Amino acid sequence: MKLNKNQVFSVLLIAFAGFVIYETTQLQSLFAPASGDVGPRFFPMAAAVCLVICSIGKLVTESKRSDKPLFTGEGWRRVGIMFLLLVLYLVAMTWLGYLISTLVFTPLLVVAMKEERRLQPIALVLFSVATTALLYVVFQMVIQVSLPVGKLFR
Amino acid sequence: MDMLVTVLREMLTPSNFLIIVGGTILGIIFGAVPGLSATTGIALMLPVSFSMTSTTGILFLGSIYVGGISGGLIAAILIGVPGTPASVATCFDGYPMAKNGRASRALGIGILSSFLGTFFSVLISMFFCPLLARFAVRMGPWEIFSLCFCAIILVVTMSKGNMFNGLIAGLLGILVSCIGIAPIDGAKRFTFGVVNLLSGINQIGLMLGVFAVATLIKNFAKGDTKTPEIDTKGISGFGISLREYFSHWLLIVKSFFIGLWIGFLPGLGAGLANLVAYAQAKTSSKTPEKFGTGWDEGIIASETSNNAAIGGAIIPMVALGIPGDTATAMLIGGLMIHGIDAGPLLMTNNPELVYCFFGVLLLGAALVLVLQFFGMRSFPYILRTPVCYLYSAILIICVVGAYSDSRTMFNCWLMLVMGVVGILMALGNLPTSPFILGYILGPMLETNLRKGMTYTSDGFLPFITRPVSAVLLLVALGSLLWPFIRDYREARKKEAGRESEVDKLSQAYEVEED
Repeated sequence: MKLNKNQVFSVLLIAFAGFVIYETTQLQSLFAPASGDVGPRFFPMAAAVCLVICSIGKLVTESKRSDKPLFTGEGWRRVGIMFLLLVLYLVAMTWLGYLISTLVFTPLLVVAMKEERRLQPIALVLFSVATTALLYVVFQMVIQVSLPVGKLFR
Repeated sequence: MDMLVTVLREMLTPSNFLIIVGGTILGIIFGAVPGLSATTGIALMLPVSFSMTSTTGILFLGSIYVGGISGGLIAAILIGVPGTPASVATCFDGYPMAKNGRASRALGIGILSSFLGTFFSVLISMFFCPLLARFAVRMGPWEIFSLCFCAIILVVTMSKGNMFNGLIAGLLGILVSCIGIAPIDGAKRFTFGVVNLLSGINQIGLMLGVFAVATLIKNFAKGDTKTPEIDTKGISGFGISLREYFSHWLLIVKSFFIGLWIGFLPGLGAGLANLVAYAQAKTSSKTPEKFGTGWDEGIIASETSNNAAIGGAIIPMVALGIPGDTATAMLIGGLMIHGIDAGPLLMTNNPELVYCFFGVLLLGAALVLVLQFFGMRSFPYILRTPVCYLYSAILIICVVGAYSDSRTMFNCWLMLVMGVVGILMALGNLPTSPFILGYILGPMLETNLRKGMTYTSDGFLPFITRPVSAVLLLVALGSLLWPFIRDYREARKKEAGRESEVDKLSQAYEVEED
């Protein structure tokens, strides 16, 4: 029997709920329970059990529905590129700090999303510098959050 | 009277007034750009509001909210793409009118209707909220639990789509809210030894991830990022005289009350209100055949009702502290970041804050009117902003915003993980609004459940023996049957070829609910 996308999703949800139920049984309360209190396990356990029931409901009711894909192949490629860039940006920010990483990744993000648009290099540079500087002024100076300086420069 | 003076003093302080104007402009931009919405705007600005006082913060977020709901009409009229579900029906007549070279008239009618809808619905909710809040004060943990439970279930069952998807999303939100230190006894839950998780899943990281990062990446992956063609000819002035506009007063009043009522019901917001009001206007019109060709009445019905829904939606939020949709859930979240307890005591404990919120909605409505009137010529430029630049800037703001809340990179990673969760939810057809409601209401549900259990020795019994609590639980459980009844009735109607006007209209555009 071949499962469609929604059915696979439902099965994974049931597995996830099973994991939550297992983790919940491992929970320890710090104090002896007050009279009548159901303790810290009850609520997540109830939610996870309901999740199992609803996932079965989804499995049954959506089995016949058409399996419309969320994105095309190209769409998924775009999702991958965006997340990859964001992950690299966060890694760069951790090591190189806010200023360098943002100056580098702002134009990269623009280029990644440009589609058929032709970008002018000057505009791209100006935009990157302006974005980096503006956010630096707003967050570092006005809101007074010390933005990361990077592990390499600490 | 004292309250009025306090509110005016707060709002008209030069710095606060500037923040309100800025927030309104931001809101209009977020509402105008297709794919973005008031919700994205509020999520993005939550970290910024964190640095403000609680009053200034709510003034700022409130102004983005008003601007965002109204801004949707711009894209609907100028490019025929509803920026938000709230302005689907505005496209039907607004876009043909703009294409006929009467864009100013369409925008003028939309802007005026928007103003009337927001302003008077907020005034009405100002009158009703204190009445409801007086009753809310008398509620014990049993009633509060049942109320939160009822709110989540109603949001799920009243909205379109498979009920199980909504319930699953709500339950996932509740489970996410369980991470961290448990209420009442302080037990550690699901932290897996990660210190940063002890305080729970950070709200800003979660909201930015689900409502900004995931939304933007979804739009980009679907290819909804082309810069539209806009005809800028004929955009100047209102294009309609006030006398001519108010000759439709009966329609304005009718659409207003449809919006107010639908907005008040949880789960049904501006997205349904505009379709119902439009259908109602069409069926009761003497010239129904002119609807859809660029007819004034169509725009009036849609824009008055979707903005009147604002007033309806904030009644449960303010009076009971229970959000009824995503945007109000975010506003409640914004308050919680400032350490203000949401829940039925919101209005009693923080009257100043609540009235400042009403104040900013009223002032915001007036500002939107003025800003949109004088800024009409700049609308095409907003819509023509190259998406690659706009989205890049927003993504960078998300990262910096997530960092600034806890000043750790952990929060930025959390935001990315939540972005992946947002995409996965879309993959499984799970709606995001029950998710966020579950996340916000989860702790309230659990705290009140456990309090209720310890206050008496009867265990679960008081939840069903106390009348108000019992009625709320019955309504919630009863409404679980509603989707089945609705589907059955719709199938019967379809068979008989008697589809209602609203059903037909709602199929015209597939707009994702927030």
